[in-house]
Amino acid sequence: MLDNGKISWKQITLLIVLARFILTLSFLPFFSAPPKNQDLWISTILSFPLQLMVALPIFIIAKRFPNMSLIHVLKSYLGKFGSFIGFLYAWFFLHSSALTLREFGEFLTTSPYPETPIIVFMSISILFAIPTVRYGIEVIGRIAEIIFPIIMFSVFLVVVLLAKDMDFKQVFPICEDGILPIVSGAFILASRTKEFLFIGFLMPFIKNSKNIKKSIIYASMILSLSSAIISLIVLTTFGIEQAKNRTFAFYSAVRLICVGNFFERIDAIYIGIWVLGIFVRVAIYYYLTVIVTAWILDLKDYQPLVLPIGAIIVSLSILMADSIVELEKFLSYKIYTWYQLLFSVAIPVLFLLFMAIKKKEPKKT
Amino acid sequence: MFKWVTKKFNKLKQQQKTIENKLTETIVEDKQISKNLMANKQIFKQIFDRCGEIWFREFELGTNPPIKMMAFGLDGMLLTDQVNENVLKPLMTIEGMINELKPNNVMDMVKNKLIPVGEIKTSRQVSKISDGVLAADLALLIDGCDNAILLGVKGCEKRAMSEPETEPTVRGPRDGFIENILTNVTTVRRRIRSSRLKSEYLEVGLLSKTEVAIVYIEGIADNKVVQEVKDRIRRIDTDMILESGNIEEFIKDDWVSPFPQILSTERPDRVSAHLVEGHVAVFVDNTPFVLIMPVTFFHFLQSSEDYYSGFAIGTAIRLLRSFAVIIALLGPSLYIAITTFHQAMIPTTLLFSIAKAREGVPFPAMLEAFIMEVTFELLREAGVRLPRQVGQAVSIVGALVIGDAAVSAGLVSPSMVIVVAITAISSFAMPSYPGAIVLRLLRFVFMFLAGTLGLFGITLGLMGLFIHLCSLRSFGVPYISPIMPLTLKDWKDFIIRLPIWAMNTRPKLIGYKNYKRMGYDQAPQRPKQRETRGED
Repeated sequence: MLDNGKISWKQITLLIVLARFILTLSFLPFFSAPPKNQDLWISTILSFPLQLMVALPIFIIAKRFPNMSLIHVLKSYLGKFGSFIGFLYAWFFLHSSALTLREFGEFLTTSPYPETPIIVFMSISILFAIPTVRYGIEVIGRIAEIIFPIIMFSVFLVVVLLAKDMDFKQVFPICEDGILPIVSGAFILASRTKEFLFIGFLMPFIKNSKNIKKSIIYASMILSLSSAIISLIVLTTFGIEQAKNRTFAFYSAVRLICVGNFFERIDAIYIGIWVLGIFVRVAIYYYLTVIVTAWILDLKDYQPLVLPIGAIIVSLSILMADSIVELEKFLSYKIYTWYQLLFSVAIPVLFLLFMAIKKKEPKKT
Repeated sequence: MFKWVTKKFNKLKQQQKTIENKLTETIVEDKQISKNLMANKQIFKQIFDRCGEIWFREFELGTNPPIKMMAFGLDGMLLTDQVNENVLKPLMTIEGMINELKPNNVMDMVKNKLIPVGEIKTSRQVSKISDGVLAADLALLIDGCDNAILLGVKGCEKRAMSEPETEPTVRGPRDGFIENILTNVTTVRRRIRSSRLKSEYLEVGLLSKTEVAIVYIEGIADNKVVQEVKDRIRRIDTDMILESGNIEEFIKDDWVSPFPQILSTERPDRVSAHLVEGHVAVFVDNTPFVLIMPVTFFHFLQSSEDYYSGFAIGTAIRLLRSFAVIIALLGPSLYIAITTFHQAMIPTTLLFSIAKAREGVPFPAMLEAFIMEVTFELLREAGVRLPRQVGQAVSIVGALVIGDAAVSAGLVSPSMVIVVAITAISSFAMPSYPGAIVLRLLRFVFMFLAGTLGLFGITLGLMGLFIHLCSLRSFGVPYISPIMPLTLKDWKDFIIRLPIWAMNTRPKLIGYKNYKRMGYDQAPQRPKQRETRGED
């Protein structure tokens, strides 16, 4: 075993929620996706069952092979081809962490620190992520458990403080364009929850692997509820037309907070809290990249991989797009949805089909 | 380059290995004393050659014919009265037992009938006898016996028990530990009168042979932890232990971390309270500071007085202290970050007054804060080290220079002085000195991060701190344990303190072997019958 750490089912739930939720908190990608009208809070709630469907293939594989990561399963059934698919996943995680880093840097350089070059934020964040990855999954899990309540509390605080600015008339009319756009919006939202892959890859580290069903259900529930709250906040403070045009809609909403003429402009604190969450997301994807690579290559120790992969992540995050416009084009629902579904659903489903047809014994490696 | 370094390192290591410890060879381990008193005397005279404090006294047992004896001990560490009255006098003037004494039963007679001293050991080995003498035993050699008697009549100078200066309380016992290990352990025994309180003695240090006692309560303390403590102390191979701090550095889990992973205290009540909760205490001779392990970070925020005042007061004080910790860690850095990067966060009127105060100050806020903080640390350090008679001079200089002159000269802004002063006071509000000093050290790191990256830097620093704290363990117990792993039952004695009768379980991770602590439902209740006193 490369890492002797253990995490509980609570921690993996929180990791899934944090990693998925924290980017949503700033970018709110669902405002530019269908249904493109004031019904999107309905689709956030509707995404709950769809998320469970997304998680289903991973859940079946994890149930069937407890104490084995997806890489080990693939390798033992498909041999060399399995390793190839493993490399695809390593790329996927690498890409995800670079994407996160880039979005994070873009956010900081657009709004609070316009004069600082973007590479400063990225490289410093990676510098802090390196020891986290070296400490292993146990520390990442604990960090998630500490940070989750802080973030939830701050969202709650924003709801309370913004209450007087909200206008619930913005929600009406409901179902203006019919039910179909709402459902497709829910589908796009659910497809973004690629984080259920964590369960497939972290299976060997989960202490009580019987609880993964609970973990998936809780994670989807918290995710759809919190997305609904966030979208309602933004929707009712700005209205759908304004919200669509803002790059960082929730952040703009936080900037509106003003209580009693002295408690105002708390956006800097919000950024601080957001950085904490983003950090967890970067760290977990970074860790997965490192450990998946080490598993594929059958290394005895993953520590030597940490530094080079960190360097690759930083350079990839700079090279991947020229500007935030280009980045958002890639991240828009038309491309990104299918890219994520390929990894989170298509490959596991194909593998399950393959197993059902072939009924092969695992290759001994 | 790298190869060169490793080569040098290996060479150094080998050199160190070739330097054998010569000190061990001076005393021969297995040498035993003979029946001839003269020969024995020669041996010990040789061992204690040029040791001015060792006295030898030859005398004769008052039998007929007289049997030659010799006593020797360490001057200044023995009770002279007792030696004269209870050892030498009965031996020299045997009353009524002259006929019973024969050369073949001298040993037993002396041991069992003649010397009215409680603690008696016998030994044959030369090394053991000399060690005993150096540990303030009185050695008795009898001609014709190949056994020596070691009498415990030690009584060296010791300080009277006084209130611990580092942890004073308003309410609570006034006794503190002193430099004598036996007194310290018995002080704890007086509080816990149970045979379950175990104390195991070890010797550490080749030259110093410092006595170290591992004290725990059987059945409550985790055996694995006790064993681990013993193993780690036995592993120490050094010549000298001066203070429990030396032991602490040898046995703590993570030597790189600045955070104290072992609690040291001078208060017997605190040690007793921790023992009952399942911790292990390590007493070291010649120091009043006792080590307690395993501990979490939050033990450093607690004072024993929290438990003696009411629970509402205790909770309020603990909340205040937690707030003080945050200020002590982040005070100046938040000020720097907000004034340099996030001016929009400050209400407009306050912003104007700060800007006005900072007008004409030649330095950026970070440098200003660094100057002030370093000056304050200098003052504090000087205040601690100076002789008390001169100490006042420091405070005058500090008050005048920092408080007044620096501001009126326009070198620092008054608002920075206020921030530094509040931070300083907050850092003193932490009851544990080693805990507070870490915060002071980390404060400078945070100030640097805040000056370069603003609130983003502070968040990153906090993140790094969280990661580090999450990775720390103290003897197997996670360092920030009631928070992570989340054990809500232990929050009863955390930053809040519930009433004593509500703390009916021991801390889950430390005292889990004997979880229940007291009966349930012990809350004081109002009397059922209405009292009518004073109303008639």
